[in-house]
Amino acid sequence: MNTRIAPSGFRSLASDFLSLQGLRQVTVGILLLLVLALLKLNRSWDVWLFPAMVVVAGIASWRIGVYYERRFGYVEVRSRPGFWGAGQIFLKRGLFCILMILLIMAWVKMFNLSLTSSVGLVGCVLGLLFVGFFVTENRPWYYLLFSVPFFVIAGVARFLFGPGRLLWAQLWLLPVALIVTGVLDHFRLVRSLPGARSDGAA
Amino acid sequence: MALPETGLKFPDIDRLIHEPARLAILSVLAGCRAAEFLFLESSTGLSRGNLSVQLTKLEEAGLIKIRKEIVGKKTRTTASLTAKGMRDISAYWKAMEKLRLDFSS
Repeated sequence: MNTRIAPSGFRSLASDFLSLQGLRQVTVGILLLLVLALLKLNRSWDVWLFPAMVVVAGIASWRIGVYYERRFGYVEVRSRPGFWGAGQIFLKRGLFCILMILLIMAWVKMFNLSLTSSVGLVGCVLGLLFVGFFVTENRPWYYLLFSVPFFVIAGVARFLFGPGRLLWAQLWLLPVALIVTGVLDHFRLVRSLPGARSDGAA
Repeated sequence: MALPETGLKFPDIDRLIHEPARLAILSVLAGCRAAEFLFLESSTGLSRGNLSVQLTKLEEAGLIKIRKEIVGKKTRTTASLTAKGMRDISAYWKAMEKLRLDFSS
Protein backbone atom coordinates (compact mmCIF):
# COMPACT_ATOMS: atom_id res chain seq x y z
CA MET A 1 0.00 0.00 0.00
CA ASN A 2 1.30 3.43 -0.99
CA THR A 3 1.71 5.35 2.27
CA ARG A 4 3.89 8.12 0.79
CA ILE A 5 1.00 10.32 -0.21
CA ALA A 6 -2.21 11.54 1.42
CA PRO A 7 -5.67 10.81 -0.06
CA SER A 8 -5.67 14.27 -1.67
CA GLY A 9 -2.34 13.30 -3.26
CA PHE A 10 -3.95 10.23 -4.84
CA ARG A 11 -6.55 12.48 -6.37
CA SER A 12 -4.07 14.99 -7.82
CA LEU A 13 -1.86 12.14 -9.04
CA ALA A 14 -4.72 11.08 -11.32
CA SER A 15 -5.84 14.60 -12.29
CA ASP A 16 -2.26 15.83 -12.98
CA PHE A 17 -1.02 12.60 -14.55
CA LEU A 18 -0.39 14.19 -17.95
CA SER A 19 1.41 17.28 -16.64
CA LEU A 20 3.64 15.09 -14.44
CA GLN A 21 4.95 13.26 -17.50
CA GLY A 22 8.16 15.30 -17.45
CA LEU A 23 10.03 13.39 -20.15
CA ARG A 24 7.81 15.08 -22.75
CA GLN A 25 9.30 18.49 -21.93
CA VAL A 26 12.78 16.97 -21.70
CA THR A 27 12.54 16.13 -25.41
CA VAL A 28 11.46 19.72 -26.16
CA GLY A 29 14.48 20.96 -24.18
CA ILE A 30 16.88 18.65 -26.03
CA LEU A 31 15.47 19.71 -29.41
CA LEU A 32 15.81 23.39 -28.46
CA LEU A 33 19.43 22.76 -27.46
CA LEU A 34 20.07 21.14 -30.85
CA VAL A 35 18.45 24.05 -32.70
CA LEU A 36 20.48 26.58 -30.71
CA ALA A 37 23.67 24.64 -31.39
CA LEU A 38 22.86 24.59 -35.11
CA LEU A 39 22.11 28.32 -35.10
CA LYS A 40 25.32 29.02 -33.21
CA LEU A 41 27.33 27.07 -35.76
CA ASN A 42 25.63 28.34 -38.89
CA ARG A 43 23.98 31.62 -37.81
CA SER A 44 21.51 31.41 -40.71
CA TRP A 45 17.95 30.37 -39.99
CA ASP A 46 16.93 27.42 -42.11
CA VAL A 47 13.24 27.60 -43.04
CA TRP A 48 12.84 23.83 -42.50
CA LEU A 49 14.38 23.85 -39.05
CA PHE A 50 11.30 24.92 -37.10
CA PRO A 51 8.73 22.62 -38.83
CA ALA A 52 11.21 19.72 -38.53
CA MET A 53 11.58 20.42 -34.83
CA VAL A 54 7.79 20.52 -34.32
CA VAL A 55 7.36 17.19 -36.15
CA VAL A 56 10.17 15.48 -34.18
CA ALA A 57 8.79 16.91 -30.90
CA GLY A 58 5.31 15.61 -31.80
CA ILE A 59 6.57 12.11 -32.57
CA ALA A 60 8.74 12.06 -29.43
CA SER A 61 5.83 13.23 -27.27
CA TRP A 62 3.59 10.48 -28.69
CA ARG A 63 6.21 7.75 -28.07
CA ILE A 64 6.83 9.02 -24.54
CA GLY A 65 3.07 8.96 -23.93
CA VAL A 66 3.06 5.29 -25.00
CA TYR A 67 5.95 4.59 -22.58
CA TYR A 68 4.12 6.22 -19.66
CA GLU A 69 0.92 4.33 -20.48
CA ARG A 70 2.76 0.98 -20.62
CA ARG A 71 4.63 1.62 -17.41
CA PHE A 72 2.00 3.31 -15.25
CA GLY A 73 -1.30 2.61 -16.98
CA TYR A 74 -3.94 4.62 -18.78
CA VAL A 75 -5.86 7.51 -17.21
CA GLU A 76 -8.85 9.20 -18.80
CA VAL A 77 -8.58 12.79 -17.66
CA ARG A 78 -11.75 14.44 -16.39
CA SER A 79 -12.89 17.34 -18.57
CA ARG A 80 -13.79 20.57 -16.84
CA PRO A 81 -17.49 20.68 -16.06
CA GLY A 82 -19.36 22.83 -18.53
CA PHE A 83 -18.78 26.33 -19.83
CA TRP A 84 -17.99 27.85 -16.44
CA GLY A 85 -15.35 25.21 -15.67
CA ALA A 86 -13.45 26.01 -18.86
CA GLY A 87 -14.06 29.74 -18.30
CA GLN A 88 -12.49 29.53 -14.86
CA ILE A 89 -9.18 28.37 -16.34
CA PHE A 90 -9.11 31.23 -18.86
CA LEU A 91 -10.12 33.68 -16.13
CA LYS A 92 -7.31 32.43 -13.87
CA ARG A 93 -4.72 32.63 -16.69
CA GLY A 94 -6.01 36.04 -17.82
CA LEU A 95 -5.89 37.49 -14.31
CA PHE A 96 -2.40 36.08 -13.87
CA CYS A 97 -1.19 37.72 -17.12
CA ILE A 98 -2.73 41.10 -16.23
CA LEU A 99 -1.26 40.98 -12.72
CA MET A 100 2.20 40.07 -14.03
CA ILE A 101 2.14 42.79 -16.71
CA LEU A 102 1.22 45.36 -14.03
CA LEU A 103 3.99 44.07 -11.74
CA ILE A 104 6.57 44.25 -14.53
CA MET A 105 5.45 47.76 -15.47
CA ALA A 106 5.83 48.84 -11.84
CA TRP A 107 9.22 47.11 -11.66
CA VAL A 108 10.41 48.81 -14.87
CA LYS A 109 9.21 52.18 -13.59
CA MET A 110 10.79 51.76 -10.13
CA PHE A 111 14.22 50.72 -11.38
CA ASN A 112 14.13 52.74 -14.60
CA LEU A 113 14.79 49.65 -16.73
CA SER A 114 14.50 49.30 -20.47
CA LEU A 115 11.92 46.72 -21.46
CA THR A 116 12.23 47.60 -25.12
CA SER A 117 15.64 45.91 -25.37
CA SER A 118 15.38 42.33 -26.60
CA VAL A 119 17.26 41.03 -23.54
CA GLY A 120 14.82 42.70 -21.14
CA LEU A 121 11.78 41.54 -23.07
CA VAL A 122 12.94 37.94 -23.61
CA GLY A 123 13.99 37.70 -19.96
CA CYS A 124 10.60 38.88 -18.72
CA VAL A 125 8.67 36.60 -21.09
CA LEU A 126 10.72 33.51 -20.17
CA GLY A 127 10.57 34.36 -16.46
CA LEU A 128 6.79 34.72 -16.76
CA LEU A 129 6.60 31.37 -18.52
CA PHE A 130 8.01 29.57 -15.47
CA VAL A 131 5.95 31.60 -12.98
CA GLY A 132 2.91 30.76 -15.12
CA PHE A 133 3.69 27.03 -14.92
CA PHE A 134 3.64 27.35 -11.13
CA VAL A 135 0.60 29.60 -10.77
CA THR A 136 -1.82 28.36 -13.43
CA GLU A 137 -0.69 24.77 -14.02
CA ASN A 138 -0.13 23.72 -10.39
CA ARG A 139 3.49 22.81 -11.12
CA PRO A 140 5.90 22.39 -8.15
CA TRP A 141 7.94 25.12 -6.46
CA TYR A 142 11.14 24.44 -8.47
CA TYR A 143 9.53 26.10 -11.51
CA LEU A 144 9.67 29.38 -9.59
CA LEU A 145 13.43 28.95 -9.04
CA PHE A 146 13.99 28.86 -12.79
CA SER A 147 12.08 32.12 -13.31
CA VAL A 148 14.59 33.99 -11.12
CA PRO A 149 17.66 33.93 -13.45
CA PHE A 150 15.56 35.20 -16.38
CA PHE A 151 14.27 38.17 -14.38
CA VAL A 152 17.77 38.85 -13.02
CA ILE A 153 19.31 38.85 -16.52
CA ALA A 154 16.50 41.13 -17.75
CA GLY A 155 17.16 43.46 -14.83
CA VAL A 156 20.97 43.68 -15.12
CA ALA A 157 21.04 43.80 -18.94
CA ARG A 158 21.30 47.58 -19.11
CA PHE A 159 24.17 47.77 -16.62
CA LEU A 160 26.39 45.22 -18.34
CA PHE A 161 28.21 45.13 -21.62
CA GLY A 162 27.42 42.62 -24.34
CA PRO A 163 23.62 42.35 -24.38
CA GLY A 164 24.00 39.86 -27.25
CA ARG A 165 25.77 37.44 -24.93
CA LEU A 166 23.08 37.87 -22.30
CA LEU A 167 20.42 37.11 -24.89
CA TRP A 168 22.24 33.91 -25.83
CA ALA A 169 22.62 33.05 -22.13
CA GLN A 170 18.85 33.31 -21.75
CA LEU A 171 18.23 31.21 -24.85
CA TRP A 172 20.60 28.48 -23.59
CA LEU A 173 19.08 28.61 -20.13
CA LEU A 174 15.55 27.90 -21.43
CA PRO A 175 16.18 24.32 -22.70
CA VAL A 176 18.35 23.57 -19.66
CA ALA A 177 15.51 24.71 -17.37
CA LEU A 178 13.00 22.63 -19.36
CA ILE A 179 15.22 19.53 -19.12
CA VAL A 180 15.93 19.92 -15.38
CA THR A 181 12.30 20.59 -14.43
CA GLY A 182 11.14 17.76 -16.72
CA VAL A 183 13.53 15.27 -15.10
CA LEU A 184 12.41 16.42 -11.63
CA ASP A 185 8.73 16.04 -12.66
CA HIS A 186 9.47 12.53 -13.93
CA PHE A 187 11.18 11.46 -10.71
CA ARG A 188 8.35 12.99 -8.70
CA LEU A 189 5.87 10.89 -10.67
CA VAL A 190 7.93 7.69 -10.35
CA ARG A 191 8.35 8.25 -6.61
CA SER A 192 4.60 8.76 -6.19
CA LEU A 193 3.81 5.49 -7.97
CA PRO A 194 5.51 2.75 -5.92
CA GLY A 195 3.48 -0.03 -7.49
CA ALA A 196 4.69 0.75 -11.01
CA ARG A 197 6.57 -1.77 -13.10
CA SER A 198 10.21 -0.85 -13.53
CA ASP A 199 10.81 -2.50 -16.90
CA GLY A 200 8.02 -0.77 -18.78
CA ALA A 201 6.72 -4.08 -20.10
CA ALA A 202 2.97 -4.23 -20.31
CA MET B 1 -16.49 10.78 37.22
CA ALA B 2 -18.50 11.05 34.03
CA LEU B 3 -17.16 13.04 31.08
CA PRO B 4 -19.16 16.16 30.19
CA GLU B 5 -21.86 15.77 27.57
CA THR B 6 -21.04 17.84 24.53
CA GLY B 7 -24.22 17.23 22.60
CA LEU B 8 -22.14 16.25 19.60
CA LYS B 9 -23.05 13.11 17.74
CA PHE B 10 -20.27 10.91 16.44
CA PRO B 11 -20.67 11.06 12.66
CA ASP B 12 -21.63 7.99 10.68
CA ILE B 13 -18.54 6.88 8.81
CA ASP B 14 -19.07 4.68 5.78
CA ARG B 15 -16.89 1.70 6.69
CA LEU B 16 -16.78 0.49 3.11
CA ILE B 17 -15.04 3.72 2.10
CA HIS B 18 -13.07 4.17 5.33
CA GLU B 19 -10.84 1.12 4.70
CA PRO B 20 -7.44 2.56 3.51
CA ALA B 21 -7.08 0.46 0.35
CA ARG B 22 -10.60 1.27 -0.86
CA LEU B 23 -10.22 4.93 0.15
CA ALA B 24 -7.01 5.12 -1.94
CA ILE B 25 -8.79 3.59 -4.97
CA LEU B 26 -11.76 5.94 -4.66
CA SER B 27 -9.47 8.96 -4.20
CA VAL B 28 -7.60 8.11 -7.42
CA LEU B 29 -10.87 7.66 -9.30
CA ALA B 30 -12.21 10.96 -7.92
CA GLY B 31 -9.37 12.74 -9.75
CA CYS B 32 -10.12 11.37 -13.22
CA ARG B 33 -12.90 10.14 -15.43
CA ALA B 34 -11.54 6.58 -15.53
CA ALA B 35 -8.29 4.80 -14.65
CA GLU B 36 -6.81 1.56 -15.88
CA PHE B 37 -6.21 -1.36 -13.52
CA LEU B 38 -2.44 -0.89 -14.03
CA PHE B 39 -2.62 2.78 -12.97
CA LEU B 40 -4.60 1.86 -9.85
CA GLU B 41 -1.98 -0.81 -9.10
CA SER B 42 0.86 1.72 -9.67
CA SER B 43 -0.64 4.52 -7.63
CA THR B 44 -2.07 2.60 -4.67
CA GLY B 45 0.79 0.10 -4.41
CA LEU B 46 -1.71 -2.71 -3.78
CA SER B 47 -1.01 -6.22 -5.01
CA ARG B 48 -3.05 -7.38 -8.01
CA GLY B 49 -5.03 -9.83 -5.93
CA ASN B 50 -5.88 -7.31 -3.22
CA LEU B 51 -6.74 -4.62 -5.79
CA SER B 52 -9.01 -7.03 -7.62
CA VAL B 53 -10.84 -7.98 -4.41
CA GLN B 54 -11.30 -4.33 -3.38
CA LEU B 55 -12.54 -3.33 -6.84
CA THR B 56 -15.11 -6.15 -6.77
CA LYS B 57 -16.37 -4.98 -3.34
CA LEU B 58 -16.67 -1.39 -4.57
CA GLU B 59 -18.44 -2.50 -7.74
CA GLU B 60 -20.88 -4.66 -5.77
CA ALA B 61 -21.65 -1.64 -3.56
CA GLY B 62 -22.42 0.39 -6.70
CA LEU B 63 -19.63 2.91 -6.04
CA ILE B 64 -17.64 2.16 -9.18
CA LYS B 65 -18.22 0.59 -12.55
CA ILE B 66 -15.67 -1.58 -14.32
CA ARG B 67 -15.32 -1.60 -18.09
CA LYS B 68 -13.34 -4.03 -20.21
CA GLU B 69 -12.35 -3.15 -23.76
CA ILE B 70 -9.96 -4.46 -26.37
CA VAL B 71 -7.16 -2.03 -27.22
CA GLY B 72 -4.49 -3.22 -29.63
CA LYS B 73 -5.25 -6.95 -29.14
CA LYS B 74 -5.07 -6.52 -25.37
CA THR B 75 -7.82 -6.25 -22.81
CA ARG B 76 -7.84 -2.94 -20.98
CA THR B 77 -9.74 -2.90 -17.68
CA THR B 78 -10.75 0.53 -16.50
CA ALA B 79 -12.67 1.63 -13.43
CA SER B 80 -14.64 4.81 -12.89
CA LEU B 81 -16.79 6.29 -10.14
CA THR B 82 -20.56 6.04 -10.47
CA ALA B 83 -22.81 8.97 -9.52
CA LYS B 84 -23.47 7.19 -6.21
CA GLY B 85 -19.73 6.70 -5.72
CA MET B 86 -19.10 10.39 -6.31
CA ARG B 87 -21.85 11.34 -3.83
CA ASP B 88 -20.68 8.89 -1.17
CA ILE B 89 -16.99 9.88 -1.32
CA SER B 90 -17.98 13.57 -1.03
CA ALA B 91 -20.22 12.76 1.93
CA TYR B 92 -17.37 10.78 3.50
CA TRP B 93 -14.96 13.73 3.26
CA LYS B 94 -17.59 16.09 4.67
CA ALA B 95 -18.10 13.74 7.63
CA MET B 96 -14.34 13.52 8.20
CA GLU B 97 -13.99 17.30 8.01
CA LYS B 98 -16.83 17.74 10.51
CA LEU B 99 -15.17 15.24 12.83
CA ARG B 100 -11.86 17.15 12.57
CA LEU B 101 -13.56 20.49 13.30
CA ASP B 102 -15.46 19.03 16.27
CA PHE B 103 -12.25 17.57 17.62
CA SER B 104 -10.26 20.81 17.32
CA SER B 105 -13.02 23.05 18.80
